[in-house]
Amino acid sequence: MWKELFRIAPELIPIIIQTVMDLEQVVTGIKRGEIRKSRVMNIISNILDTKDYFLKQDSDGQMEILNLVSMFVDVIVSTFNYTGLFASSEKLDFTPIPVEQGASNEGN
Amino acid sequence: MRATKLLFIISLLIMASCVGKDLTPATEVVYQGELIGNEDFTYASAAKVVEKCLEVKSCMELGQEDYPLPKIRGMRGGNAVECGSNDDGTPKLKLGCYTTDGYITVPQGADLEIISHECVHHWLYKSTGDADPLHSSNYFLSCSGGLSLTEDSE
Repeated sequence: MWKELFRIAPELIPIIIQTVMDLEQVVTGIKRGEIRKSRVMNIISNILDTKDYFLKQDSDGQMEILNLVSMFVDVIVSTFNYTGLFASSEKLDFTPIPVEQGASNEGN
Repeated sequence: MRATKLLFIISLLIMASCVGKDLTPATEVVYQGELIGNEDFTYASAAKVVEKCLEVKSCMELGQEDYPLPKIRGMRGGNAVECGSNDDGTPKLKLGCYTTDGYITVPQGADLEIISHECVHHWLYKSTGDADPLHSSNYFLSCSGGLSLTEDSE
């Protein structure tokens, strides 16, 4: 087993490093959900590619898995939005505040 | 196929866990008027509400369009507002309501995220003439709520 692992190490190590870097970007990168989702999809796609490469399998099932993951992300996001699990804790406050006429007229 | 069913069941369970919140109608108007405030009075959350609604407009790629902001009606006395009626004629209670006269009606103390949802209705109505009461537009997923798939979440 170790012999086999050493044999594939030159190919495997860059893939592992790249995956870790991709994950790091998902966590600390731009806070755009769309970009984060595409990065997660890329990571999963790369992992599936790697698995297929080393196991000498074709990638027929990849698209199905990626579609399921994409759907899963969408379902989770919409569910969280629907249930308000990650809703902001900020509450609407309609307490009336008089508008300071003097301040708004300054400079006129 | 099995995984799809599993996803569906999981999402149903999560949603079901939040069903059962008692909604009581808010009946007293605290503030009514422009989103940013009226000539003499504004309200405590006005700036955040305007910011939220403009974020949604930008997310819907309508930032360049010159559509007017919605107006807002803040109610107190309950945690929901009347929004249309049920089949049996009783008032339908919701956490927020958008009407095509351009008003968003929300109860005092409601979550700020509700504004995002109602603003999607508003901008849809202004851009397409259909406020999409059945929520078929993807913008409800991508541009409203605490998690956003197409816009900055902070």
